[in-house]
Amino acid sequence: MEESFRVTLDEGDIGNSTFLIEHPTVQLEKGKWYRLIGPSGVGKTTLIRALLGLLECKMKRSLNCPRGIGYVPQDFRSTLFPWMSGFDNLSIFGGVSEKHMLSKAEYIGLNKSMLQRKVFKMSGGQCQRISILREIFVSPDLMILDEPFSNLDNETSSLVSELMCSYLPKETCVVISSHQELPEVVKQKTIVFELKAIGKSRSKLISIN
Amino acid sequence: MYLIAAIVVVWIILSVPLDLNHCFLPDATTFFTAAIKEIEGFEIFKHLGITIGRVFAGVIVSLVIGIPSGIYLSYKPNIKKQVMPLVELARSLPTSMLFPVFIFFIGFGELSKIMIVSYLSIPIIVISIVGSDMGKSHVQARRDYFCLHRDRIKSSVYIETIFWDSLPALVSGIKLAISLSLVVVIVTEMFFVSSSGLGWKAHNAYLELNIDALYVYIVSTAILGLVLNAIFNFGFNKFKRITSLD
Repeated sequence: MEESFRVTLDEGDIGNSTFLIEHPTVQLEKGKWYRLIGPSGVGKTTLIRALLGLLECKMKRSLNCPRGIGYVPQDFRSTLFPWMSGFDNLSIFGGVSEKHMLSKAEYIGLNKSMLQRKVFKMSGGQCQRISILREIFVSPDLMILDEPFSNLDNETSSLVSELMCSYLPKETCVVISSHQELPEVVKQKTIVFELKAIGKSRSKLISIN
Repeated sequence: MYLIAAIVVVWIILSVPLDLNHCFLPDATTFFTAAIKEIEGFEIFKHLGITIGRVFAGVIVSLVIGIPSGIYLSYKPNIKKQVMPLVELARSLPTSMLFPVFIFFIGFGELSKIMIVSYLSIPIIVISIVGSDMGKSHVQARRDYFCLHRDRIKSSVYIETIFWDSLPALVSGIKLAISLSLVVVIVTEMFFVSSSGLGWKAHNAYLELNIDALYVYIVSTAILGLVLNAIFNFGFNKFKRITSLD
């Protein structure tokens, strides 16, 4: 029997910080897009890492994603393999032809000669687009993007967002953490959660929509 | 290099008129006379070659054993936890103290000298690789990524990542290993049964109170150190070009 998608998060402690939730449990639904906002330093990245099971915490959580997770962290450069070309980075998980890769890459402004270069010689914006594109090709159940447009101009952000909307399977649940204005195409479909500081080392996650 | 050239020029200009005791500062005339004498017989080149051979052999053995060991220990944290105290213990033990032990087990031949150099250099190479992930913030993001995609990413990519991350520390480690290997080779040649090499020639010159020849061998060893460093830099630049790291 195929395991079903389930992502829930209860309130609790992560290290010395306490994360409270408006309703004691947040359940992410298949195919929905969420946006996490909040001031710098409030703990957005910490919350994401706790949700993904990358941090030891007392928070109760459930994460079941049979088709995998796509993750673009804030420090996206670290997840790319610098000695490899853009093409090699994109094909690290296999299953995508070079022609297909190139057509999607060209859509977001990455041409063949750019993708043939080693990643450590690329600009921040090029690396960010490659790291997003690589996770898109995974077609995951859950896609988490931490500040995904920080190095991109408005036009490129819109193109990347359009590609995400069209390429990702309809069932993919997307979580975007960003304090930047999101492109219209994404803005329309996101359910917004705000993480607010409510005291020393205490934050509360509230739903805005 | 300009500073070294300036010191040599000042020495040549001042050493003759000052006429100091040769033990403290040989004058340029007697030094160059002694140097020409050593060069004429080609004796110095023979011993230079022997010393270089010992340093290279020891360093190559260290790289062949040290790099895979360092990568393996980084790849297997549980084994690293058990093995690293042993590496640190070996590193803390002065190599010179172990000369008699090596001679006792391996004998007086070339092998014992190469093993002594390797014993000194292997921990340097291993620690350069294993310790290179400390204090780097980007390593955490990469670990997170590997953790999430552990079933999809090939182990060869993980190994290449360890090598890439350790490259800056490894380059410094290899340079340090080459310099220390030269020191250890010279010491073994000087004070442990040997009948060849720059160290042996320098020690002989000292025993014969041939101070000018002693300085010729000291200067030759210093030049050899610079040349080894230049060879390494040349090799590393070639490696960078071949792998497009430049």
